[in-house]
Amino acid sequence: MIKEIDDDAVVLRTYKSGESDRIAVLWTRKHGKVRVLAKGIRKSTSRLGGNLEPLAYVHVDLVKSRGELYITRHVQHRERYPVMRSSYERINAGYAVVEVIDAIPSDDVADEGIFELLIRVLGSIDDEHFVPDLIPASFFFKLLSHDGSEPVVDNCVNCGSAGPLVAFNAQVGGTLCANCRSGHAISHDALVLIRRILGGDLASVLREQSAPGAGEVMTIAHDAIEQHFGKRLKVTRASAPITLSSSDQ
Amino acid sequence: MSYPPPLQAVVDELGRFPGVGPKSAQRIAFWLMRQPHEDVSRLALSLEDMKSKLSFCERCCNIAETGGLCPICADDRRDQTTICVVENPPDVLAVERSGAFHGTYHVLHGVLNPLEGITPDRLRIQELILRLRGPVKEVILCFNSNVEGDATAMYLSRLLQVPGLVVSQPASGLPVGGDLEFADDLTLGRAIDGRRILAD
Repeated sequence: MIKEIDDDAVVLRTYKSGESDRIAVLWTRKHGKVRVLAKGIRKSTSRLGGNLEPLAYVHVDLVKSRGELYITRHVQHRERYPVMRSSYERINAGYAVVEVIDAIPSDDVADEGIFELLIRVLGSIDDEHFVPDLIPASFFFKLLSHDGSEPVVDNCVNCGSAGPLVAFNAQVGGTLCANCRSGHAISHDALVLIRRILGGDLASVLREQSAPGAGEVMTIAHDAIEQHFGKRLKVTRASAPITLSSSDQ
Repeated sequence: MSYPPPLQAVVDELGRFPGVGPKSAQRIAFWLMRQPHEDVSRLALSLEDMKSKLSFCERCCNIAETGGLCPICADDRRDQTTICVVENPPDVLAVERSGAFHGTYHVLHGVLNPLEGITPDRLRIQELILRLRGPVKEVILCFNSNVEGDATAMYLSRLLQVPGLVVSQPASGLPVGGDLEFADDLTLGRAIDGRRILAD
């Protein structure tokens, strides 16, 4: 039976296949995660060309007959994200986001909420007014909330006491007081930052250059999302430093 | 039911090749079994020779005979002040075929791809940096025009900010012989961004 998809999608990742083909993993708005074979896309004469690249927001027209993969009939850009594509740090932030989306075990199961969240986060990475460092961490917290696993950060997740809260443990799902402490130690700055991210102040957080506690928040968010999906993520928590030692010059 | 162990071993080994699945591995193995003994021996010997006699060029990391320079680095007529940085050895041949480049190369053996765990320390970047101590005036970053290639070019362009060194990238645009109406919008956009003035 022939199955067709005409939908918006974000390209999560691509793999080379055969001489000139590529397999792309897409997160679509109405059909969830689908795998697509783009025939001849690696040839310079391909019409699909740069349309089916990781981090692209596209409209796709796909068809599936036999086999597991859909075949591309038409792909068109919805958003190009030029700011993201011109910054190494922003591309890395985008990679961190799509790696987590790809970890969601939901082939052919739609979740429009996740799609909207994904589009918003890619738009934020592409916004030059936002510093990209904290965007993946913020996205991880938002995704946990979407899945009904929002971390508890207002009191001790174990005993319920109001604090002082001194630790964060992704396994138990939130912050802990001095008596119950386990997991990562958490500073007051990091705690405030997480509360601002989850409490509706995300836009102003993302405008701040090197917000106090940002490094801790990134580590905590990374641990929490790994714990949630039970999977170790490959994308590094921080971009590799770009420096040339004086002896090399 | 499985095949006799010697045949199964060949199927298993061929199945590890990139782009070769179990069915293809089986087809190639049966084809090999039908070939004359001397043809199969020649194939086995050529594979053995390739592994024992070839290594990477000490200077540019391209394929070369073990313990020496590749033919391009060993050629005095090549412009030693320009380095074209490419992802893999086949890219060297692709640029050479153009006949437009007369400098030397540097092969990174990959591009940055955090999703696959390929970080800067896994590429031949340190060897490239050491080459900058020589008479190098320009580095051309010649990668596939995709997200990974762009990310690697951006990373290297910031890393290679050395006084007196020009870091460039090939123009991106329409393929010769391709119809404008069939060009994807990203390629067409880049072609227009990088347009050339014909008359002023």
